[in-house]
Amino acid sequence: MMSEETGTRDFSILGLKLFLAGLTMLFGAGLVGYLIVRLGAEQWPPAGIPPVPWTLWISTAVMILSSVTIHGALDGAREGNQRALKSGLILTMLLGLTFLVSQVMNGAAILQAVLSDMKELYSFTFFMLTTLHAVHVIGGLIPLGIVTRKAFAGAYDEKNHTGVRLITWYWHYLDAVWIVLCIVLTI
Amino acid sequence: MTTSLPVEHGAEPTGTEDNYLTCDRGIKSWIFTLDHKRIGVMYLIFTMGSFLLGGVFALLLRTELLTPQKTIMDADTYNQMFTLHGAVMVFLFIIPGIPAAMGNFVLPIMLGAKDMAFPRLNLASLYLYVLGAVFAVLAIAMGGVDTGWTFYTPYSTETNTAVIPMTIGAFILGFSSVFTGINFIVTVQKLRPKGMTWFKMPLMLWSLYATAIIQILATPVLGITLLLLIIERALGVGIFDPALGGDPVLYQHFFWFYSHPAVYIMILPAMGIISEIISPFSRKHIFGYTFIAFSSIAIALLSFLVWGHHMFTSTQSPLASTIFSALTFSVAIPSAVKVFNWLATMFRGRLVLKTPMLWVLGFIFLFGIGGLTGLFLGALATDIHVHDTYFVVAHFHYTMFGGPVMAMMGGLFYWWPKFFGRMYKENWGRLSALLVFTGFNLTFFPQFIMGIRGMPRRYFNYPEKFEIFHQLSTIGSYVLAFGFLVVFFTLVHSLFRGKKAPANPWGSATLEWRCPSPPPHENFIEPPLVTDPYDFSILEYDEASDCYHLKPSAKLAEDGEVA
Amino acid sequence: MANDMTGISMLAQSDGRFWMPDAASTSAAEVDWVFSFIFWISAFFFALIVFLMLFFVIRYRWRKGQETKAMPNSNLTIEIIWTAIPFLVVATIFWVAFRAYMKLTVPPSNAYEIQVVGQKWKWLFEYPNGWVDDRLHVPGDRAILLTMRSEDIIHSMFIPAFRLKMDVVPGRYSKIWFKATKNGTFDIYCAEYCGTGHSDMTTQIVVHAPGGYERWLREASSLLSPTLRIQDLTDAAALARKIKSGTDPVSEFIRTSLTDAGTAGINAWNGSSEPNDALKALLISEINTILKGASIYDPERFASVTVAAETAALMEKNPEGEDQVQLNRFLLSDAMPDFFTRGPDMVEAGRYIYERKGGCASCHTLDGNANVGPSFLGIYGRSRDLEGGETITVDENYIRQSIIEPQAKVVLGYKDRSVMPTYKGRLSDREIGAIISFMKSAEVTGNEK
Repeated sequence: MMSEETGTRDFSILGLKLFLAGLTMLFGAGLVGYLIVRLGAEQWPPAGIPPVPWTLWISTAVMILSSVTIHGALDGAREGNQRALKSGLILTMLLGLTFLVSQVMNGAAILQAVLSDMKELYSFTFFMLTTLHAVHVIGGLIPLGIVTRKAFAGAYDEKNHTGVRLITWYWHYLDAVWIVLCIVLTI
Repeated sequence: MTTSLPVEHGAEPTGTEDNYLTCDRGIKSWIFTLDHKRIGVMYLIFTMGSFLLGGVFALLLRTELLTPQKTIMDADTYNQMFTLHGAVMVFLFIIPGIPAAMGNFVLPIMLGAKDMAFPRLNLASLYLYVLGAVFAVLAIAMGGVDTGWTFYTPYSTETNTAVIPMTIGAFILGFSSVFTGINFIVTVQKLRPKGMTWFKMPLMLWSLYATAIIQILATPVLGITLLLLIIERALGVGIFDPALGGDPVLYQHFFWFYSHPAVYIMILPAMGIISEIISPFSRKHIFGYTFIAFSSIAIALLSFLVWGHHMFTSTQSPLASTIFSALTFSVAIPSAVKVFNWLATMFRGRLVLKTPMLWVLGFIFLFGIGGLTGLFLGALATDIHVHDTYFVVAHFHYTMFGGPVMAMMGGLFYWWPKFFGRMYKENWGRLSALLVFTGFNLTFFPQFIMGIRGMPRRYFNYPEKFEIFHQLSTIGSYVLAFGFLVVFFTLVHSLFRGKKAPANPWGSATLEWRCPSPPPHENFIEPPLVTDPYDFSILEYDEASDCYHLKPSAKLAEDGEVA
Repeated sequence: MANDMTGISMLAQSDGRFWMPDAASTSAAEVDWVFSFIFWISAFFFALIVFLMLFFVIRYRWRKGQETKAMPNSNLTIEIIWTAIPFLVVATIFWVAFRAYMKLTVPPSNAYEIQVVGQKWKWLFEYPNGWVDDRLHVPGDRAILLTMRSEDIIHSMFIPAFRLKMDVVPGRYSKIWFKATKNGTFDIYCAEYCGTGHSDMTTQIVVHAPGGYERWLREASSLLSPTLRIQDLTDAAALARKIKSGTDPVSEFIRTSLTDAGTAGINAWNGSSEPNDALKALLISEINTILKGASIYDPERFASVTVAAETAALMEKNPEGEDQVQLNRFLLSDAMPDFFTRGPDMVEAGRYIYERKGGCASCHTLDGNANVGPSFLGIYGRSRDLEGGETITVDENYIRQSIIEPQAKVVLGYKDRSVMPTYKGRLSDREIGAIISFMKSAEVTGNEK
């Protein structure tokens, strides 16, 4: 309906920014809930339960790396470098999947530690935050897949690559959220 | 240097060309429509249906309360009735009512745009609304919910009613609200035609913009809160459970962090409608445009800082209560500024007392009481006494009904000719406004008295000393219901028997009145000429067509100012 | 709003006040002042707005041919004025309400503390001596601190006459304090929605005149009271289990006699863990309700219960009042011998009255030495010569008569010294019975030596 190309691109980025502002409130509320439970607890982690696995930092490294690769893809699109675009997107997808696998392993480690008592808030809040984030990563992989397919179909060039810009913005955002979560969970 | 106005802008639409209702036919053309007007109309139908449903619950409630003991239902049914009344009215009617139904229709036209920035997102938000409503109806079908619309934990995690479908419904409706908000902001920021500067925008757009800020930033917090509630209920573990070291009061903080701003989602667009109606019906430029505009933004921002005033007796620390009380009073100031500016707009005008204006006068009266009784609730010492009594029930009905519902009715009667191209019977419209106003006061004023005297909310059995007030209130609710019956009849009658509406029957200067009634598919064939939205000197009345036109002599200065 | 204060007198309250209910605490006076302050400010602004609106509607209503009078579309000065005025008004209201709030939030350090338990759908009050009651009794004119907790979900203690309200939240203690200024009975409501019985979760607060509270508490929780106290429970778990799942007729009778709150409480209990204080309090309250009711005896119900001689003897008397309650307690104890004590220790109660309440000890020694009156040592069952030549045996009837009519039969040699006042109306039958039990006890008869 609104067919002016330049206009559409502007709108989408603004729309995405507003959406991310809303998501920030979502993650913010999750973090506040976590902190209130944690600060109100006598002991954190509870007696007999090990702290969160250090392997969270592996996830962090993967996430940061994926931010770099997706930015490479965007630069590729801006410069009309189709090879950089495609490889950047593919790498990001692979890293995204790696991140999810790493998170599942972290979750399994936590689960192992609390098997005797599943009804406590230490592991619950851990899963609350990580799952909330992981769901958004999965939610990001779908449009990332679509953008990748379109990139292989040659849909993007120097002028027209709104899809790549949108997914890059979103991915960087997920990266930033994860770094904050990881720091809060591990300190 | 000035240029003459292009002829088309002032031309009387012939009424024979296709409009948005007739340009496309068949059920599919509605289900898959991307036209903001059709989406708005569908929202209007659904929200009005919800209003009817919530109203029926209210009448059942009031009937039960005719006697101090059981009248027509048992305590559990009564508890479900007030829960469903609250949940349906809040989540399915008032929150989407003005922004999604009316805002969707008028925002792009008032702005001079062809549609929303994201028409597909707009349709998606409607679908989500319907899906959320389906869950709510499912909850009712599964035996209802008895938690109160606030779903307070731990009660909501242990009651054996259908809490999960209802909260899933509210969760989905939240998404719908966020999508609408994103669309509003992007549309206002990006789709303004040439000449439509921020300060040329009708005040309705300022208030919808402010509303959208709240929708986007507050709703996600409700989302995660309800999600955590659902998980806690399903798995028996969660951060609101005191037995595990969680905190049920945290739920209240989260809930009100959304739900207090949410009352401004309800009232801000209502205030926008008042500004839109009061100026043309006073035949005078709105007074203090800038202050009204910025007070909307101020209210939106302050609304995020006051949630704790719902919790003065919740065991939150006295320090927190004190801070929230002080911040709460700050919201009173921009609201007062708006009321004074509206009065100043009427001052020395020529007041046309037609139906929309009567709803507006009712709004000022009722919202005045609603706002001023808020002072008792914001004040620490008095809130302790009246909190969770009928005083609060009366207060929020004076603000939420006296505000949004009165304004929405005003807006409906104001824009009805534009929506559907028909004029209603003026005297019937006036009668309906009068009936609703009278019934409303009879219903809710006695509740102030009961509340101050200590009648707690949500009581099935109540002490006999309150019986007379409950009976007055119940009689009032029947009058109120009758008033809405007249509203319904008046409007539906107009669709079949009403006179064809001219493009600009009220002599308003905002852009939606430049389109034919009803507007064509894409609103404007070419970008409209933007003028001051409240300058009526550029219009002249044509008795033959009972319609106002732009004066052919009107000149447009180069800087966009009409000379 | 203001007009309603005069017009509708039939809707006014019994004391003539229209808005606020009876004011019976120090904070009520404070809050009512703040209320009136805000009320008149609101009334003024509301009247102003409505007056202007109606005036404009009449003065400036549309008339054919009249043009709108020219007027500026904005004016910075006037905007600043009507921004500043509401600011000053709300700042004042905030401050006034805040000051009053601080007074009603911070309890004095010497406040008298009563524990409150909120549960579906009942309030229970635990007094400092362990007595549990479902009404709140307080001394007037003294700072009272309520320390409140919830056993299930959120409730809210609301005392309209005191303008007080505070939520009772599971997992934390909440506190409110007040100082009652009026004696009498006032309503207590639950103000936080709590399900089916929310509107039945009401009770009263009784504010006593000076000394009245102490008297009430002593009497209610008196050593003589045949009702149960927490410390009378010897095996709460066994008792709770019996009520929860016992199949004998007495257990079934108790189970069917429980209130909704009692049923909910017993159902919520897992059946094995040691009942917590709240459940104990609930059990006490429930059993006391049964004890205070009609006789629980029924030949069929008690067919398999061995009724003790003491019980049978009391049953013979067709007792009333507290004795009836005592009979019920005996019967229950016979049916459930190991779960709680049979009733107050009458000897101990008698000692208490001898030493404190009756003040007997100041005139009657226990060591055989005569004081103002004869010593109690070994007096029971003996023959005594009276003034006037008669001889009697000191038995229950004589003791009873000597307490009610001390001058009727004075022991020889005590005529001049006899200053004993009548205790008629000061000691109940049961209390006199306790004194007799005390005098019959081994310690006082001297038989233990």
